[in-house]
Amino acid sequence: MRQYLMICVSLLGCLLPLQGNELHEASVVLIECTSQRWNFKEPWKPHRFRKGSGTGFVIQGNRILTNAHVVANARYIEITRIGDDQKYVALVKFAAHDCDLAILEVEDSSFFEGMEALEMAPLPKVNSVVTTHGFPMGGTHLSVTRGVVSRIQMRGYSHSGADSHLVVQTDSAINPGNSGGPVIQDGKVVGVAFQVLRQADNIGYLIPSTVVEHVLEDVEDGRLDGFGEMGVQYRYDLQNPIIRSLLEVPEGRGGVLITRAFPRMPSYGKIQPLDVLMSINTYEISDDGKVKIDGRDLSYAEVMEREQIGTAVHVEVWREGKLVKLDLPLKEWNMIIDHRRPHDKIPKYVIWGGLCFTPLSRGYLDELGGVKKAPLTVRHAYEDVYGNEDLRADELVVLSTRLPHEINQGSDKVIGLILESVDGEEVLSLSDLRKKLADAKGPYAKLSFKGKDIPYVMKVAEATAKNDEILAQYRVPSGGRE
Amino acid sequence: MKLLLLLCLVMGGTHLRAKETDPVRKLLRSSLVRLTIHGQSPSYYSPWKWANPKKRSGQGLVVGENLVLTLSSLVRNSTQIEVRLNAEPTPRILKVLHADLDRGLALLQGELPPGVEVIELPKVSNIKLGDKARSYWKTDRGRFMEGHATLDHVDAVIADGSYQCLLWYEGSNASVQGGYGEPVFCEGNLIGISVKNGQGSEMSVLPVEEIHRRYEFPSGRMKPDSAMAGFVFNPCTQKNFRDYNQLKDEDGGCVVTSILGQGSGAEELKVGDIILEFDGRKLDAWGRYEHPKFGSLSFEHLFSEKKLGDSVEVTLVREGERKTLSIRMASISEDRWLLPEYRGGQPGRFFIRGGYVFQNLSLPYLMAWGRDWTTKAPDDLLVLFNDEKGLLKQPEREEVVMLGQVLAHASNRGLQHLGRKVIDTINNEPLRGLKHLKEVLDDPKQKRVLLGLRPGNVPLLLDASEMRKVDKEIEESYGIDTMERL
Repeated sequence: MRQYLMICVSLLGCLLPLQGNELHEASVVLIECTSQRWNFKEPWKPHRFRKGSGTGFVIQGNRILTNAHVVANARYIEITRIGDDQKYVALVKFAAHDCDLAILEVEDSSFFEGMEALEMAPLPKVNSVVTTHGFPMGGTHLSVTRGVVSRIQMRGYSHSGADSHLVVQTDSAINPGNSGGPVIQDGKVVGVAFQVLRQADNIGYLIPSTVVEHVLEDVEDGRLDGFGEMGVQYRYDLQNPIIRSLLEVPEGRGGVLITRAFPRMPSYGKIQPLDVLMSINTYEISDDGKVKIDGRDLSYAEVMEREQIGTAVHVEVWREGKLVKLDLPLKEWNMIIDHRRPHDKIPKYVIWGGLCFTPLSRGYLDELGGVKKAPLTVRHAYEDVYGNEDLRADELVVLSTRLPHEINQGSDKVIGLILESVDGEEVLSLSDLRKKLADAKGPYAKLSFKGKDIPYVMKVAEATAKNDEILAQYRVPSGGRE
Repeated sequence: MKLLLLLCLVMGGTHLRAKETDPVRKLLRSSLVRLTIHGQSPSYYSPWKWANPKKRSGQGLVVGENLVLTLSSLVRNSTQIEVRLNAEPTPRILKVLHADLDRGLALLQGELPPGVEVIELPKVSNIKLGDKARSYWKTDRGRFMEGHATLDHVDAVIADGSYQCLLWYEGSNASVQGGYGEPVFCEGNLIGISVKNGQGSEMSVLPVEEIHRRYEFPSGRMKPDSAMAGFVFNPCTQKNFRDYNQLKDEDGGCVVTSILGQGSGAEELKVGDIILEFDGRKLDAWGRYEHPKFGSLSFEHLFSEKKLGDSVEVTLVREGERKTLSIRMASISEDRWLLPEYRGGQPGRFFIRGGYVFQNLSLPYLMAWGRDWTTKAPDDLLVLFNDEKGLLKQPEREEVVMLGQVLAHASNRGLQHLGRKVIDTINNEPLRGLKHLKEVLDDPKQKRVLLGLRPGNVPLLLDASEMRKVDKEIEESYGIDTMERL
C-alpha cells in the first residue's frame, strides 16, 4: 500500500470548458482559498501563504460542503457561483480533517438564492455510472466527468495521514481542483471527490455518503467530535485451521484474533489478547475481519464508523471456550502524540535560555522531512506511543531548535531529542515543563534527554535573565505559546 | 590522452630503473606475495543461505617458515586462499592460522617453495613526521608496483570491527590509497603494513610495533590479548557542564558517556565521570594527551600497550569530587556479548520449525539493510540494539531471539506475514535463547505453545506437534540444506 502515493486533489489551474446542463449543477461552487500553515520546528512563525482552489456544493441549511484540504489553514476564502461574476466571502464552520470534509458558511445570505441543496444518496452499486462535478485545474466553468464505481473499501485518507475510512473508488477523472466536488448518481450525491492514487491509471476516490452523513449528524449539536474506536490490534490467525482448533472456536463461527488492547481506549481491561472478536452489533465477523453490510463485504471497523463517539457497540468475544458479551462505548484515539497532520493547529512552544521546546507531533516530524529523519529514540517513541502502558506523560516534549547564544553552547547534540526530565523530575507536558523551568531554583538545571546518559546543564539565572535578549536577537516575537 | 601516454612512459621508465637498484624490491622479491582469496559470506536475513562466492586479492608478507602475514579483513569468510610464487603454474593453498580482528591482522599457513625468503620485521618503526613512505605490492602477473605518501600525522584509531584503539601512521597525498596489506617502507626500513581507513588521498599504516604486540616472529606464536577500554567517552566541552563540575579550562578532562559490560574500567568507572589523568598523563577536554613524538593523541590507544591484569591509576571528577582510582586492565571477548557482532563473518544461529524461522538478533542482521541500515532497519530492532549493546549474555538470557520470517506452507496460513519480531516470552516465561525455544518445541508433551512478541508481548499461538510434522516437506520444498545451526 505504501508504495503508492495518495494525493489530495485541490489546487492551481488553467481553463477547461463547461459540460453538462443538469439542475444540480447550479449548486456546485468554486472555492478559492488563501492558506498559511505554521512552522512546527520554529513554532513562533508561520510558513509563507499559498493560494489554491477546489470545489464545493450546497447542502441543507445554507451550508457548503467541501474537502477539508481545500480550506485547511485558511486565512481567506472566496466562493463563486456558476454564471455569477461576484465573489462571496466564506468562513469555515467545521473542518473534519480526519475524514477530509469541511462545512462552510457564507456571510451574505443572498448567495444561496436560487440554489438548491443537494441530497445525499446511499452507497452506490459497484459498476454503476457516476458523474464528477468540479473545477479541475481551476477555471470558472464547471467540468463534468463520467465513470463507474470500481470498488468500495476501507483506506487511508491522505489529508490527515493517519485515518482510514470507507472510500468509493472510481475511474471517473479526478484532477486537482475537483476536490470537494459532488459525485452524482440519479441526481443525488453518492460521494465527494477527494484523492487519487498516483502511479496508477484512473484510480480516484470519493468520500462516500455514509462518511458525509456521519459528519453532518456529528455536528448537529454544534460540536465536531470525530469518529470513535474501541482500540484493539488484531490478526487473521483464524484463517489457520490449526489455530482455530487450539482456540476451540465452534464450527460455523469465526472472527479476528485480538493481539493487543490499547491503554486509554475503551477495550483496555475489557478485551484481552487471545480473545476472538466474533461479532459487533449483531454483525458476524469473518476470519479476514469483514462483516456483511447491505450485501457488501466491508471491514468490521465500518460498523463503528457508522456510530457516533460515546455510543456503545455490542461485541461478542470467544475467550477460553466461552462466549463473552461486552458493551464498549466508542472513543476517539487518545493521541499523546498527534499522528495527524496538523491542519488549523497553531504549535505550542516554550523558549528558555534560547532553547525552544515543543510537543512531539506529526507536524514537527513533517518539518524534518518525515519521521524517518528523526533520531531513533524519537522515531521509536512516535511509533510505540499507543501501546506504552507505563507512559505517565500527557505529551512528549522535544527540543525543536536552538537560538545559538553563549549560554546554550553545546546543546546542538541534544536538538531533536525528547526531554525526559528536569533535575530528575519527569516532564509530563509542555505546560508542565514551563512550570518546572519557572520553578527551577538553580544554580543549575539538569535537562535529561532520551537516549543520552549525561544531562545537558543550563545555568538557571542566566537562562532566565538572557531569554529576552536572545528573543530580540533572533526577532522572535514571544517566548512561548500555549 | 597524449599526456596520459607520456605519464605512463615516464612511470614505466622509473619502474624499470627502480627494479634494478632498489634494495627494498630486492628484499621483497620473494617475501612479498600476492594472495587471491575466494570467499563466501553468510546471509543473515535467510540464515540457511550463503551469498554467491566472491574473489578478492591482497598482499601478504612471508614472516616465518610457511607463514604469511596479511590483513584479517582480506581473509574474512574465505573458502580458499591461493598464492602463486616464482611463476609456478599451480597456485599453492594457504589456510588461516589465526585472525586477530582487533589489530586487523591474520597469519596464514601453507607449504611455501624452498628459497622463499623470510622477512624480518623490525621491532621499532622509528619514523619522523614528514618522512616519505613507500608501499609495495605485486600485481596478478607478479609485477612490482610502488606507491608514495608523506607521513604527516599519527592517529589513535578504532578500526571497523575492532574493540582496540591503535596508533596508525597516516600519510597524505598518497599516490594510491592501498589498504590491502602492502608493506610500507621509510628510508629503506619496513615500518608497517597498509590498512584501510576509507580516506581517498590518505595512506594508513599499522606500525610494526602493533604487529609485534600480537605475534612472535618467526614462530608466529600468539601473545596474550592487550587491554581494551570498557567504556565510551566524549569531549567535555560544554561550558555549563564544566562549571557545574567545577572544572577550569586548564583542567581538561573528558566525560564517560557509557559503560560496557566488559573491558578496562567497566567495573570501576561510572557514566558522568570526568577523566582528568590516565596513567600519569594529563588529558585535555577531548581526551587527548601530549605524546612526546607525535603530539596530541587520544589516550584510548594507551590500553593497547597494557597487559591484562595490570592496574592503571586514573584521576577523575565524580559528582563534583576529585578521586584517584586504580582500574584493572581487561580485554573484550566478543563471545560474551548478548548481541553478537560476528566480526569474523560467522553465520547467525537459527532453526526452522513448521516454516517459522527462529534466529538470533545480531549486528550483521541489521546491517543487511544496506548502507543506511541505521534508518532502514526496523526501529524496534534498532532501539533494542541501541539499548542493549554492551550488555553481556546471562544464563537467563543468552541471546535475543526473533521470529525472522515464515516460509509459506498450508500449516502456517494466516501467519505468513509475520517476521522480524523479537520473542520475549514462551508460555509466559522469559525466553532464554534459541535452545530454550527449541527444547520446548521439541518436547513431545507440548502441543499448545504461546510466544510473546515485542512490542507489547503480542501473543502468537503455535501447535508444536503440528509444526514438527511439516519440517521435512518444508526442507524439500524450499531446498534448505540445513534446518538449524545452533
